[in-house]
Amino acid sequence: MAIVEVSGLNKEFRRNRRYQGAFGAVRTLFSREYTVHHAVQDVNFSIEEGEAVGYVGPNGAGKSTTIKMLTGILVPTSGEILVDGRVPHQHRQENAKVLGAVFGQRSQLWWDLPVSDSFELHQHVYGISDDNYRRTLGFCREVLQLDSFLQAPVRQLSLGQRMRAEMAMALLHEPKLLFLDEPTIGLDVLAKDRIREFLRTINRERNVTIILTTHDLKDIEEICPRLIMINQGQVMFDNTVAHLKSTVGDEREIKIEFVSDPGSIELMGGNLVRDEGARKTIRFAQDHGSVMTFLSDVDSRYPIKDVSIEEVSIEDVIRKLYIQTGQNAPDESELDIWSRHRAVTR
Amino acid sequence: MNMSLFLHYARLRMKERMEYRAAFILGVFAQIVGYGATYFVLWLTLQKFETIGGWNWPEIALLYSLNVLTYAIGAAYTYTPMTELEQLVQKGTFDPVLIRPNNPFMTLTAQMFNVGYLAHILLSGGILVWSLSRLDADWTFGKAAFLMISVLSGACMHAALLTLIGSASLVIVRAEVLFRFNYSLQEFISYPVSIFGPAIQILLTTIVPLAFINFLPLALILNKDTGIIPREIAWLTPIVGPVLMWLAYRTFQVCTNRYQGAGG
Repeated sequence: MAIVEVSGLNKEFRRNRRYQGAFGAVRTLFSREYTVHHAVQDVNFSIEEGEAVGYVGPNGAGKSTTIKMLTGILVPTSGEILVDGRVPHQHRQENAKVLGAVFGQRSQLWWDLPVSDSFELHQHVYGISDDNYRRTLGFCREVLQLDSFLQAPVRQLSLGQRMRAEMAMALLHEPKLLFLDEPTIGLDVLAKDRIREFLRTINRERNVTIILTTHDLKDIEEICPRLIMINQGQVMFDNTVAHLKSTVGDEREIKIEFVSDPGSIELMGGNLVRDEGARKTIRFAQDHGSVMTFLSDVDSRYPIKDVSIEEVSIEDVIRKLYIQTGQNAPDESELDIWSRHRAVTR
Repeated sequence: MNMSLFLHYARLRMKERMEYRAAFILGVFAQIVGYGATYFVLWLTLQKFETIGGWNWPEIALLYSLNVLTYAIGAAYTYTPMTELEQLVQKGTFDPVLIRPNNPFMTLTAQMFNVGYLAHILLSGGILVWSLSRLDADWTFGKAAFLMISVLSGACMHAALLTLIGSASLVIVRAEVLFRFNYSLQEFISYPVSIFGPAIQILLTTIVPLAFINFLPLALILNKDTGIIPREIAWLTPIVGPVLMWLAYRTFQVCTNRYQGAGG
């Protein structure tokens, strides 16, 4: 059964027109003119229970807007969404029980208190029975290795530890569906690996449906068999990662180190990408024949000292698409901590 | 959202504040000094004039304490979320509130409950009890009950005003002007409203009904002159607060529904 069903989804933002000049501010105040920005346009997809889907696209493509509509935070301008059979913005509170959300850049933990305090509050907010709470927490503690910092104030955690705690909290009420907005942003390689492994585990073993937005395509390769790519509000690609690779011709990148600089060489079917004299990088599409045949052919004429063969990463494929639309690489904006303590009274 | 959950939030806020005990105690101390100064000025004035509009020192102390006490109760759960609402929405930190299985207004006010108002409550509560002991009003059960209900209603009124302005900040820009206006108006009700001109008396009973917070209920209990305001209106005190709070809550809902997100 499809847990998420989206059809003909649109979201427009109206921005009041602003005027320049001496009386610009006054005109802005009284003006009824606005420009319409189409954040999401005619998006359709359906996600089955137990799937793990990567939702990618450049900054401003409409990723977060879609996620906000799926969680019921934003109301669509038109189109239909069903999450677990309900319209999210009309049933926000019921929906909240079946979904979990992790925002990489917005902590939901209490900054100055031990992690366990946030967890216990979460138990009360979601009305989780003691038995279920103990069981799920036990699972998270084991898989995410939380024990060493469960009693430490959140402000003392490393970013990696904090993200592990955020994940655990989002799962305490055993949601069917987990939204992750940039869950690995800013993490080091080791911490990223840990998070990815955990997400794989809960997806494969606990059948939690995962929808994940990211700028790090390794996240997708390692967690999500399926990829939805969006740009300028429209879906550009929706299929498996394997399919994406095959549609771009299943190229291999071959780095060859020759015994001596062969000069300009004849490449049967290959494309020279980089030439550093004795070291050359060649793109070879597999529909031109086998890589091994190609290599032995080259070797018979120009002796090869060393060789490495790599798949072209989906990153390269997507980068091409980003560049086509004039988007830059993502930037990591500053952390914003929600529950930072507030001391002001009046 | 039930009471035990609200208390859970409040307990965590208190625990959190205790992480910075020195800052907390200093803050409490600063508030007591600040509000203490206003009490002192009122006391000095009454040393010179004996009464203001027919109210002597203990009565004025009671009048001012009732305002501060109700403000503290109302502001404890609305001041912080409402003054920061615009920021929360812009930064997207309001979003997690919308995906909790509880009412967003309740979640927001519980989550941002401010225990710093303990200072106001200690000071004004203490002086309120003192001033009651110095009054020779013949207390009946009815009067005592009316005073208690007035405290709750007044707390609702203060919370409602902050909620209205906070919600307005989502629709109009620069709403902090309104917050300042609200605090300026409150200076009027440190004194019996009957001493001001008719325009202000009417303003404080109709458009911004601050007179219901302390002046009108106390005028009824202490049998004081109510100026041009018909005395019977004071009987509305118990419903003015809840009605305003309901209006403010609806406004909050309308304004947050209009929220469309801080961008993708």
